[in-house]
This record gives sequence, structure tokens and C-alpha cells, in this order.
Amino acid sequence: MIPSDHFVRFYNEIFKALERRGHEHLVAYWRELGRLQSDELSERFRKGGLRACQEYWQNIFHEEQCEADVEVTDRYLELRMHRCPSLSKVLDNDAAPSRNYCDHCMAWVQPVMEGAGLYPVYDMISRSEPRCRMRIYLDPLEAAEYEKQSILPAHPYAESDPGEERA
Amino acid sequence: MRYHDTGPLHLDFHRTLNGSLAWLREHYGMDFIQEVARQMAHEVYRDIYEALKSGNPEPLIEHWTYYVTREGGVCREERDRTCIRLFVNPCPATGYLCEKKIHPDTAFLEMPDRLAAAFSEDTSFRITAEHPDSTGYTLCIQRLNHDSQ
Repeated sequence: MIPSDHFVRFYNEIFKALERRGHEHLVAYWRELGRLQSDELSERFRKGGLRACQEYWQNIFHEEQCEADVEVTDRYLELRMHRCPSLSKVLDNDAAPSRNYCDHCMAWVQPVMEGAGLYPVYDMISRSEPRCRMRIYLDPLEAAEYEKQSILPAHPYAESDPGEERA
Repeated sequence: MRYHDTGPLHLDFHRTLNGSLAWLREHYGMDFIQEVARQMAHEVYRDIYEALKSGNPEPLIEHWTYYVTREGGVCREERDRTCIRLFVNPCPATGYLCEKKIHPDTAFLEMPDRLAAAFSEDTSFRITAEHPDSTGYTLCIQRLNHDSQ
């Protein structure tokens, strides 16, 4: 079995194996991840709104042992990840990290939020540092405006390979 | 152990893994799953694999026992002159899916077999997984050249 503690390192190996076949293969897998997570979460978030998102991530923070905080306003949810356990494990690893590892997060969050009628903005800040910031808005125009402040906005379904500029 | 996780668990990763493996099997076949299992065994678990190549199965046994037990499974060990058997029953990963009424994919159930095959490569061990029932499996670690030692 793959221990749940080691899932993200397995994930990382899947990403690399797909990247070797071409970026479009990785994107196709991300779409499947988005579908799997949407089946599990979109309806819950659509019904419960930002508070349901907050509850979900607070549980994730506990189970995955994140150093993070989340707050909800009447317009958006803000998640501040100070130490991401997922990228931390991928970096604390005898195998090399996928250059697009961080992008997978928005790759599943985006379809989940589309299904829930919410608008995420994900600032990865850096693909080599285990910290990031996300806001989920009720209003798409506010989301687009906020994204202008991002250091490294995540667009996993953009046409080009998001990690290409670093290759 | 190179990795020694403690604290809370996010068991829902088993659901994501099961769904991922089902999709990857359908689109890329079992050879792809074996390729990823090989990377896992040879690169992520490099210390375990290097120990096996040098004739030492103990890091693999320690790792497997620790993580099965940590997730609430049972891992019983039996040894004889030629073989070490780890009886994993119940398997916590399969158990989690069953609790959520999710059907485990073939590729998910065969993951111990895939890892065992990868761990065996270029070592003096034949490592296999047997599946006596649907709730667990037995990992068999057999030294190939015992008669000559």
C-alpha cells in the first residue's frame, strides 16, 4: 500500500511520469483530479458557501498538519499557508520534485469552485517555497481585481506549460 | 527510517489515490502504474531499496509494519529459514475505501504487488504479494540464494 502520509510523494511521481509524455498528459490528469474533488466537494461548497470552505480547510489543516490560517469575510475567504505540508514532503524526498508540483492545487480547486459558483485566486508565491495564499470570492470581478496583486498566480489550464519558463 | 511520520492522518488520500489509479490504468495501462511504482520504490524509498540490494530486508519490514500499524491496520510477521511473511489484515487503505463504500480499483488492490516487484529488481530477493482475501494481503520476502549462503 501507499501510506496516506506518502501519497503526495506518489502524486509527485505520477506528475513526473506524465510530464515525460508531454505537458498535455499532466493537464489531462489534473482535470481528472478536479473531477474527483468536484464530486466530493462542489455541492457541499455550493450549499454551504464560504463557511463550508472554511470548515473543509480547517479540517485539512489538522489532518495534514499545515501551518496555516483561514478567515472569512462577507466577500471572500482568505487562506494563508505558512508551511505547506504537501510541497514540504515533496522537497523532503529522495526523488526530485515535479517542476509543476504547486500548480496541481489550483488544478483541483478551480473546477471545484466553478461547480460551487465561487471564484478562486491562487498566488503560489514561489514553486520552491512551501507557502502560498488563496482567496475565494463570491464576485468574479473582485477576484480578477485581486489577482493583479499576485506574485505568481496559478493558471494550470493555461495553454502553455506553467513551469516552462523555469526549465 | 528515512521517513517517519507522526501525528494526525489524512486518510482521504486513499480515495484520491484509488480514483487516480483507476483513471491512469484506463488511459495508460498497468505498465504506467508499474513505472510509477518503480520510481517510488527506487527513488522515493531509495534507502530501503539500497538496503535490499545489499542483502538487508529489515528497513523494508520496518517501514511496511510502521505505516500499516500507524493507519490502524494489523501487520503480523512470521519468519522461517527462507522467507519472511508480513500478514497485513485488515489493510487500512482498503478498509478506508470500504467504509466510504468506494469500490477499490484493480490497480489500487495490486499496489503491494507493484511495489514488491519494483523492490525485487536487481536484488537477491523475490518479493511478492499474495491476496488470500479481500481485506488484506501477505507480503512474502524470499531470499533467492539461501542454499548457497
